[in-house]
Amino acid sequence: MAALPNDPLFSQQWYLLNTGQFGGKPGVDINVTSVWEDYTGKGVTVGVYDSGVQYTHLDLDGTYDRSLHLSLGGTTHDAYPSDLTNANNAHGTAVAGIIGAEANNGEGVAGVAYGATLTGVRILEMPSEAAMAAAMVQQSRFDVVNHSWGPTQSFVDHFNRLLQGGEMIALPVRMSALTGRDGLGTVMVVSSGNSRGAGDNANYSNFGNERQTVTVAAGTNEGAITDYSTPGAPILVTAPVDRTEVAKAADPTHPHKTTTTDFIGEQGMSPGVAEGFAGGDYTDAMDGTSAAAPMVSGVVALMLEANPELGYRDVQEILAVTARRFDGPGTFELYRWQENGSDTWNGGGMHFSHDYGYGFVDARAAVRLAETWERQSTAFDETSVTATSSLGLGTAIPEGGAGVSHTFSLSGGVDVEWIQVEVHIDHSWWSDLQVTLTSPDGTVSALLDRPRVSPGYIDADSPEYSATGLEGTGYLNFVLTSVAHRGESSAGEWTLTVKDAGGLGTGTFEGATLTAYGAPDSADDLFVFTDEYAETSTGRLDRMVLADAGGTDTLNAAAVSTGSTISLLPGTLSKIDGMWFAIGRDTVIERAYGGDGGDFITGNAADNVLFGGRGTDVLTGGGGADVFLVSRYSDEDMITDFNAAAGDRIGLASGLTYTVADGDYGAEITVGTDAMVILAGITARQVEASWFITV
Amino acid sequence: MAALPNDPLFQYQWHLLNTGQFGGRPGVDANVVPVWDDYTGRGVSVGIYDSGVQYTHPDLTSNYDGALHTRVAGQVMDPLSTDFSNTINAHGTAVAGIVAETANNGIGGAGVAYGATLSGADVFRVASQTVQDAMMAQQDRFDVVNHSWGFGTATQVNGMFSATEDFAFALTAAALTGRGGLGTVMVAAAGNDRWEGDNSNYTDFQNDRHVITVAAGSNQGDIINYSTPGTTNLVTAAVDRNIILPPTEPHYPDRTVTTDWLGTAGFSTTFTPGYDDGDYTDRMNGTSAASPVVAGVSALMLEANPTLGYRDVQEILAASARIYTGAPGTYERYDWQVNGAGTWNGGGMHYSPDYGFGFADARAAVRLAESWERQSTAFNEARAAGGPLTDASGAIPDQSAAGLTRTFTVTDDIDVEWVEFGVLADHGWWGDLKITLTSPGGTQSVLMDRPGVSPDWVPSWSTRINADGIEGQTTLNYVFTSVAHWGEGSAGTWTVTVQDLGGKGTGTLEDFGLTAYGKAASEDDLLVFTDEFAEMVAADATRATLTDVAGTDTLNAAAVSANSLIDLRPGALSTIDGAQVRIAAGTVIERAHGGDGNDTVVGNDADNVLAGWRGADVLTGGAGADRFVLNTQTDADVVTDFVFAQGDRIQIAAGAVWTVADASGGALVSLGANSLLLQGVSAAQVNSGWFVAA
Repeated sequence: MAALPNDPLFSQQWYLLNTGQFGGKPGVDINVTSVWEDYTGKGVTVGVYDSGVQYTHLDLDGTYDRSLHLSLGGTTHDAYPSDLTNANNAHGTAVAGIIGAEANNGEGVAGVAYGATLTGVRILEMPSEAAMAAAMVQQSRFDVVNHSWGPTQSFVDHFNRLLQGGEMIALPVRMSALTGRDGLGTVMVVSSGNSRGAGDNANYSNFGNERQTVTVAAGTNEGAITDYSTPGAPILVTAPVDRTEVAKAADPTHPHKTTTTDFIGEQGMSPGVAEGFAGGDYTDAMDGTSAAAPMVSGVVALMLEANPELGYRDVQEILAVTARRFDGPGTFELYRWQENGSDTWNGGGMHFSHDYGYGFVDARAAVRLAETWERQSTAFDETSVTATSSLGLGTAIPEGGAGVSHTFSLSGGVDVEWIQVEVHIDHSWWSDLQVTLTSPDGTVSALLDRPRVSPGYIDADSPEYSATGLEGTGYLNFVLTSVAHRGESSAGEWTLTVKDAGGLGTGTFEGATLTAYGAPDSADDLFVFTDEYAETSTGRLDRMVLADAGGTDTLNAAAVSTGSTISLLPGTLSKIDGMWFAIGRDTVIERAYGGDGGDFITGNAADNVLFGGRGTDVLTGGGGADVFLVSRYSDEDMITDFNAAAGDRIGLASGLTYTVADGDYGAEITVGTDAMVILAGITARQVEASWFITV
Repeated sequence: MAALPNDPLFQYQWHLLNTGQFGGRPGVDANVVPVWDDYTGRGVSVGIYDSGVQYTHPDLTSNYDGALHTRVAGQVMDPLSTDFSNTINAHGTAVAGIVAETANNGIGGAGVAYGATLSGADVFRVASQTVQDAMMAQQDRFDVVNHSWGFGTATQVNGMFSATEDFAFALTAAALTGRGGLGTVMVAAAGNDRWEGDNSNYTDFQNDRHVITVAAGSNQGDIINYSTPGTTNLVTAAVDRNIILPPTEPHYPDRTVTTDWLGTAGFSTTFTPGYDDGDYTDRMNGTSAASPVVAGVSALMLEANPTLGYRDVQEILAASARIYTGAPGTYERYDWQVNGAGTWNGGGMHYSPDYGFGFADARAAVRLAESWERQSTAFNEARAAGGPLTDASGAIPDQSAAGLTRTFTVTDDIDVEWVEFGVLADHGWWGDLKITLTSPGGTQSVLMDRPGVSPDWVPSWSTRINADGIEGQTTLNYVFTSVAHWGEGSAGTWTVTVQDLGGKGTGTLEDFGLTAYGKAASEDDLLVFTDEFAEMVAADATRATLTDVAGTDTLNAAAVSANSLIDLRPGALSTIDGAQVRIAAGTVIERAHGGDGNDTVVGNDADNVLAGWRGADVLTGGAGADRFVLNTQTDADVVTDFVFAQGDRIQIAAGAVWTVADASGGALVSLGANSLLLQGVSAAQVNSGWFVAA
């Protein structure tokens, strides 16, 4: 365990390390501290598209890079806040601090990725739509872009291009996925919004629901959703940022929400905040999905330092599969958790909720998967299948009841990541409408859910309360998306249902187009295990047997923090996260990655690739020409049956050097400065350079 | 006049210099030869988005820069032609040559901007639409991009409106980020489907307002029989000869002579002696040949003035384009209109969806570029919106010339460049539909015109004859554009008329909306004069009087080649292009630019800025603190009444090094070979306090 940062306010930053301070549930944090042993985001650039950044702040000036300021219409756009007397303008400075405030400088706070490079863009103060679009297009200058903002109205870009403002935001997002990071795609992270009480949904904006963005919800220090976090099927993950109203009410001078950098001195959010906050240079009043998105941006920076070759789609996938449930008090949840139809996550489907996405972000698990990720998924190898109903259907939507359904027969070929549905509905009161999509696997995406109708827990005297909804009438042509079906197959019958659940209007369903986006279906499967395997598989035989036919398959337990026993031999038992599972009798998995604990990994007769990861691991290749991977982070691993004559090799990352010496159990190969692998029963003299390959 | 290029095939390149060779009308060319005295496109990069480029060609290689190649998914996209099996892929090599084939190297011919830097992007040989979109997203690497290609024609199923959103947005993005925010100048071919009833408005590519769409003309100065019309067309370039023959047509040396794949590969095979083993071809034609002519002209303009915004380039091309009066016009579909602008040759601009504003004129365009004092980019673009109406919807009367008419008001007044008009309609047979937008200035834009219906003159043997047009896809939800209203004011009553002129289907108009884009309304007017002033004023005597009420106004006659007399005094008579024009009593024009001739420019009592440009010009400031321009294109001009004490100054580029000497009649102030003679002044009086920067 790395030493914790020496920054005096670190103990206030429960979102980085929640030990139960301020009444939180221990462990409800982003699990980042152990990552800092290896990664701090160094070399990764993060664009903070916000209200400007006070980059002269002592806790930001070392990580801020003014040379990346944008050029807009031939003029350099300096992101220093325009007006320090307006407390709202401190927003960007707070966001920047969450991502990358300097650490171990004896000053203030620590950022999630405190080694990353920050640059601001005052996207909230653009003088024209052209400047806005030019700034959005230039997201491709950055590796990661954080957007803790969004449109305030629903469906602003319906019908006609002439009426849109949204396309100047959404289309640059798509372009940055093509051109950012030299084609790997800028990773764009967006806050889902703070309008749960007003009946909003992340799907009601083509910014928050673009499939190139990572949309983030806001949770509490007890592991629940906040009462404001905007829900929706596009939400990928949640980050914990706030305390409950009850906790805050009991402690009026110390909100102890997200502690971060603030405008220097008394300006900004700081007034009223407790002493100990360095004269107001810091605040503990930051909250909202605006605080949640930068936590995820920081995690992404750590992932990209760990593996700069990840495509933006890999980043999304890794964030989803490593996210976890805390099952805190779900007072403000509007949706149930579902288990989707994926069959490669902890032995089965992934958990998804329109409140949380796939759950709370976990930096350690995400970085471990990033390190061991063998894929590269970008805009260029994304595939899709589409089905369209006739347009101009004119089917009346009955008031109440089961509504109108349309079934799309989608062909196979796509391992789904995103679903997109373009709906055409003519209705005199959009707030009456509920639109759901049910996949062939039975997962339900709530795409449109009585827009702007307040949930039941909102008091009628609240300013955001509306029983009937507030906006929208006429022809609704809008693109709605969902991440809920990640890992499902596109093949089969998808059912779109349009209901009129209110009494204020009537209308017709005119048609829809359904598109499934994802990776081409492949026999090469990636079975991911995490620290949630035990809880998801208890009593679930279906998850405890891993059966697969064909392809070069990988079992990746790199995200698991405890020791694993993995036996790839068909028909044998393995144990991960303290729970057993069996590899099917006819199932051949070729590759295995161990986690942070001491692992025992045994290959089968095939040509295996085996990696122990951190911890003292024991690797046995069995038959075949096996490759044993060693990284800078391997602790002391032992290979029990290294057989060069059979084709066994040691795989080293490019640039890693090694030395060989004799030890008690065999040849000790020191890799880099710290890592070691022992070839049992082999002497140093026997070791040949040809045994090492670059991977 | 510069010496002509020594390249042996130059004599055949009538699109550059038409002396009547091959039976063409002399003068029907890009008028580029006089530009080469000063500019060849040096320092300007032109991206050839096409079928690849054989940049190893000895006539291309020295201008080619592989460092500008686009990158997709981490890979350099090298457009070098490697597969010579499909002749059509020689297209990009031919296009590259038209733009910037090396000149004066004793081989081949010459490009329009033969000093420009070329690079290519092969947008055809791509693995997916996504790859193409990524290449499109990198147009901002270039100053100019040429697109001699497009999507399907109206007669193909789903061929209409086929550019994707992402593709179309890449055009917007390049205008925002190219050239450091001045905007990449994008030039596109209008298409070659006039026979098939196509229209350049039917694709989100050619009708994008960031794109200059180019039609193809004949060597007689009229529209060529295949060039696709549309109100999105800005200008025409002459590239072919009008002839209708069955497909067995032999080749003629009257198309566009340019580079070809080396050896016998490509378009070449046999031709006139001198065609060097087929390294060149005389078979290039189409709007694919016209677009690179204009891309080359744009490169010359940007060398002349690198601070032009992409919107300035569009405006200058439009204002300097010309009509060849008396050309046959056999295949024209539309009449020429004079729009409601008030500042072009004393009145409105001539426009036709066949030609755009007319044939591109490199000399005139470069002269305006040099003297252009504006900078119009995406960042200072203004807009004004009108419609939709609550009562927009209505049935479109079947087979009725009267059609369905809706009027609506635009309140905000801007100086219009482009109009976007969105239509939502349901119709069972789009081939029946004609949509016409009429501006408050009375100009008609035919936005949609019976898609797929062939013109009457299409011969019966043609496989492309089609009486009914296309069925379409019922719901028409599309944004049409028009440049026809350039220079008009947006405010006032607009009219849209939707006609169903065929018997194949019926339908309804559901909704519509208009957005006009252009310059914020301003009292500072720019009055442009060209070599067409005499004929324009002959047709409309009101052009002979200039009336203006306020603002800092400019009379720019830089594009005029004859001697001008410009007298800014209110009520005085001037002579431009040999025709008289009077500045009305009470009208004060502050600034004037002379043209290529020996001009006489007389200021008024206001503080004037007077520039003589080429020719031996005589400048008289009159009262007020006047500025006399000395620049690298000032020949030997004379200032008759320089009075330092009155505030008169010499306007010169910041940092320019001048010298002064006594000469006959006064002090000769020189900037290299260029000079102003200040009459009645002695050299000893002249000091740095007499000079100001622009």
